[in-house]
Amino acid sequence: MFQQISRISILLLSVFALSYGLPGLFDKVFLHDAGNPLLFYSPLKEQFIYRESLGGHQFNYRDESGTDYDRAGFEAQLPFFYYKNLEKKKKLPVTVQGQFFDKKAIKSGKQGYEVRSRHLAGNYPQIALYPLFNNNPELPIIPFPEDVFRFTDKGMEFISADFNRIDSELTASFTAALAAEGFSFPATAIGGKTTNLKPFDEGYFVRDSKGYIFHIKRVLNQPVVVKTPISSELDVVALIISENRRKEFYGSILTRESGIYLIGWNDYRLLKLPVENYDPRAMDLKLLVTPLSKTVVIGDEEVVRGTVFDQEYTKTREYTLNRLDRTPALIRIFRQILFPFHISLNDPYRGKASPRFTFGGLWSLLGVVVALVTFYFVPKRRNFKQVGLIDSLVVLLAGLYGLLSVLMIRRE
Amino acid sequence: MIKSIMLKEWLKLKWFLYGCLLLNIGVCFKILLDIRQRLHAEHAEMVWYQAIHLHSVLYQDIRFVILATSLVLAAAQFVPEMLGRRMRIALHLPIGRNRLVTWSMLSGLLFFSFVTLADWLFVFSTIRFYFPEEVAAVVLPTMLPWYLAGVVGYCATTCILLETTRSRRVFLSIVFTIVVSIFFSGHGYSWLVPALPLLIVCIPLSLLSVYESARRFQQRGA
Repeated sequence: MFQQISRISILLLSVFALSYGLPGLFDKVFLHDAGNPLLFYSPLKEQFIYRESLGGHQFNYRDESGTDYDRAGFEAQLPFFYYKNLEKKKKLPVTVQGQFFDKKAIKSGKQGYEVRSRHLAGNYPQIALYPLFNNNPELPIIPFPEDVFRFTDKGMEFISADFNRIDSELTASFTAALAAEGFSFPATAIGGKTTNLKPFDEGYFVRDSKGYIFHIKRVLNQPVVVKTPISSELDVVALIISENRRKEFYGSILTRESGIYLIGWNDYRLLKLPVENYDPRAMDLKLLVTPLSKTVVIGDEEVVRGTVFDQEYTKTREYTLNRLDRTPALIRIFRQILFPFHISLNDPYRGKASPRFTFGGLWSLLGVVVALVTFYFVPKRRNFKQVGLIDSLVVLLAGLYGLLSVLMIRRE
Repeated sequence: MIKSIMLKEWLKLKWFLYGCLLLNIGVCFKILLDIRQRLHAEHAEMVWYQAIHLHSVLYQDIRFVILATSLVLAAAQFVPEMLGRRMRIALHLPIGRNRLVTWSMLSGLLFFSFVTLADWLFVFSTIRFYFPEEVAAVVLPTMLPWYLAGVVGYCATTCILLETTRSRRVFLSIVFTIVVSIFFSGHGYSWLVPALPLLIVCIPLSLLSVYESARRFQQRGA
């Protein structure tokens, strides 16, 4: 009995290893990963235009009506994104939809804002220690602070990196400032850009234990705390802050049920982005702002969806682009026949291991039948009485993986 | 009898254990010096930023040393037994084959666990000294998969050495290499933690696999 268990253990381990390794190897050799298509709204064509990879540095440039472009033609349709081309050709200012735009107008009216699912709290391992940049109007750069902060049940603690010790003075001043504004410790969500590679610093947006959201900055080493009027009823998933010179919004609040809200500059008024079917836990989102329109692009593993808004965020156009799968149909069928299932740990929308068990597809049934037939009729196994029930079950449930395992780890 | 088996394993392994311990502590010491040097050369806050927000694992030099330790200990235990098929003598002792294998593996894994524990204590203390407690707290979940890879590596070496046919050796090498590689997948701290409840199943499966190879070894002429 014990020997039986031991052999079954090898068989299970072998099936597990093969179902992880073989499909991965197959995909590396045969599958063509087209990458993410780039979807834009062209103000000249007044329709969506996209670039999708064909592999090997080959690309399709096409608009939604099916017209193909070369690279230069594609870039010419997007004057706000490729304005440097126009500048080099001395074609600035440019006229778009009857309006003139020079370099300054384009630069000041442009913004890219991105929410990547793999960077959301809970989707990747994150140590909850953050740098709070010290705003000093006399300095042309944002120096990195010599401390990090954490939120505890009692306050906002600063730890000095030079001595790895709590900075009592800073801790006391920020905790007192937060308490004075009515902050209820601990924090339940923290959002801020942790890099100094940004035009200026707007600190952090922090949700307290009662659901209220506070805006916290450090100016000349002193706390500046604002209790925002944002509703404490919002079911917040994450606060994504990104400073931009346009100063239209601080960033966004992602919620579990009610979508994504932009946090208005200065007044903290929330503006709901009317984007349908957006699941922040399994999709990336891009907001591309140009002087004439705003485009939201969301995408998952199957499709990329674009929605264009006017300056008041009224929807004007939508387009859905199916992701190109360049893998020949025969290869895809062959993969299904070979592999009845696939175990993987990677998920493009997670920054941590995400175990996934994926069934091959309908063609996998054929693969299992072929594996069973091979198993029963390989030399020395023609006598069915010699074929064990466990081995048959392993082949039935695991197809090729099971077949390889029972043939290599034969019953004796 | 069990005491005698443990003593035999100790006599076989002690110099290898000392050597592995020395190597592991040496690498841990290098990690300490590297971190200290980085903190002196760069601003401390930038090194903290790299460790916290850029997910740099400052102690990753130790991960393959842990695996190598398990392979060396398993080889030190079982290669001498295979030379001249000496293990057949042990298999004729008045103790069951499975108990003999169990106690042999237990002693090897105990020594391996001791070395890994020393690594963890050293690395944890280093990180705790230079970084906040949150950074030190992720040392264990980050290093745990490396230890588990070592356990699988130990079982793999034992299985492959005990196997009598080349085809099975090759097949088991492929299977165990894939399993070990899974424990090293990903990047940054705590990356593999969500998968550990699934991957931990590989440990009993790997341990149990050795008994089948031991049976085959005995029944094929020991």
